[in-house]
Amino acid sequence: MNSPIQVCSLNKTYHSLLHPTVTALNDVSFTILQGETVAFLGPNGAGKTTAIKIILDLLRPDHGSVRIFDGDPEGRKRIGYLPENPSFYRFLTGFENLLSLARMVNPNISLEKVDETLKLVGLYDAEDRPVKSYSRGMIQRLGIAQAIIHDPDLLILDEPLSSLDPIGRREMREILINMKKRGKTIFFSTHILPDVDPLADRVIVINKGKIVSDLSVDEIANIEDHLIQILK
Amino acid sequence: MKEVVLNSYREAIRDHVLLVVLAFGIVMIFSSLIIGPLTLGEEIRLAKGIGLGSILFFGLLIILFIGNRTLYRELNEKTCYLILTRPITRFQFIAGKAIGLFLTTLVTSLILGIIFISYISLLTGTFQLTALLAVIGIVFQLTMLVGVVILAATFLNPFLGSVFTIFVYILGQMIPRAIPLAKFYKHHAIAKILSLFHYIFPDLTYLDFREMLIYNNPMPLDRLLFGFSYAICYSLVLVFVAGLIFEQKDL
Repeated sequence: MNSPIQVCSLNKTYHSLLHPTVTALNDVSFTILQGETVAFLGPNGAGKTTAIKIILDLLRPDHGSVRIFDGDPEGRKRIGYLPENPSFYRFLTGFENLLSLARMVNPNISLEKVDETLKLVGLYDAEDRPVKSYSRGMIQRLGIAQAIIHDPDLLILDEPLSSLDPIGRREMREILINMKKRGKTIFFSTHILPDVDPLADRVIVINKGKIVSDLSVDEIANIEDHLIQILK
Repeated sequence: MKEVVLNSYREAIRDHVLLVVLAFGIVMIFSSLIIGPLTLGEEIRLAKGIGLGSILFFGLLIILFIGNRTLYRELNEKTCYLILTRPITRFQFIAGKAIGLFLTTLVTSLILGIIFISYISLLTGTFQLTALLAVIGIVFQLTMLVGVVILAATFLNPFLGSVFTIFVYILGQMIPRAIPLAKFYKHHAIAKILSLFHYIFPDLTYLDFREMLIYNNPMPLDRLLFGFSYAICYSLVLVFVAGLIFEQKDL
């Protein structure tokens, strides 16, 4: 089976003159299979975002390696990424931001596709407003739009449902469930445990830079209890 | 990379800071109308001096305000995450930011330059080709400073980046003028150290045609061509070094 993400023995340490050295990742390994939806859980500072950034080549590991789509050189075109607290060009409109990001992957993307995606995330009425006038929830919606506009095979989402109101969370969850039904691979980190169950097939838990649990959702009776138990 | 260039340019051009700087630049160019009568027949020379000085000064301000913030914002507010996780290399990203900033500087300098040349032509009654060449010289000086700002932004915050750029600007004006002085007074060791710095810091005097314009001296073509080629090569080297630093950076 294809492996959109293969992480092997990742180590990352942050050094600082003023602060003590922090080991963010310690021998982290896991593989995400094609079509899987995997929740990446852990307390604040556990190493979730560091691992995601290394997978995306935003950070360089001290040791270890990452393979995306089994080393496919065009792999980046097949990834949709939503960072925690996404940020856009403030003086450009939502439409301009989305069009520009979509064209970086597919230069021939149509304007209709941009409109369609903005409608899907509920931002069509605000598409001509500069992003500086958007609320945090609207920016999060635009973040999801830029992650899915090029119909990626792999979605890497860092806290995808944070900053959204309950209706927004439900709408975005439905978008992700729809992507899952279409066979897309989804790897997401979250603090909102009720969002894990309807989405995830598998749960990976990281604590203090180490993978402490890697189970399928069927093997876990209650995610919250499981998390509390292994983090104790 | 085209999208990175366009985004940088559009983001800068819509920034209100740019409009304010442009407005002040235009006011400064025309300020000789008020000060001119006090100079007893030197109105045109004064207008040329103030005009060219304004284009350079306000171009530098734009580079400092917008250039230093542009990359810092990308990194600090993490806008670059959305770009660098797409099929865009870090080198392309840095080159795109540099070209976007260069376009912003070019457009603003041209706006101020056209106003300045029109004003001088009105005052003298003829089209001043030397004024046009002097403005182009300033654009190329600013191109080198774009490279400096982009390099500084890869490892310094906006404040320190501005200090660094101003420092480089001052050295770029001073060192080429100080070397002949050191030689004249037979300070050979100082002259050698200054010559070494001359290779590192940009020589902005190659492209400084203010005196030629003010005193109506002819502009040597070889100096013009050498100055333009030097500015392009220097900027490319700086952007390349910025790319190398950015390539190694943890984001």
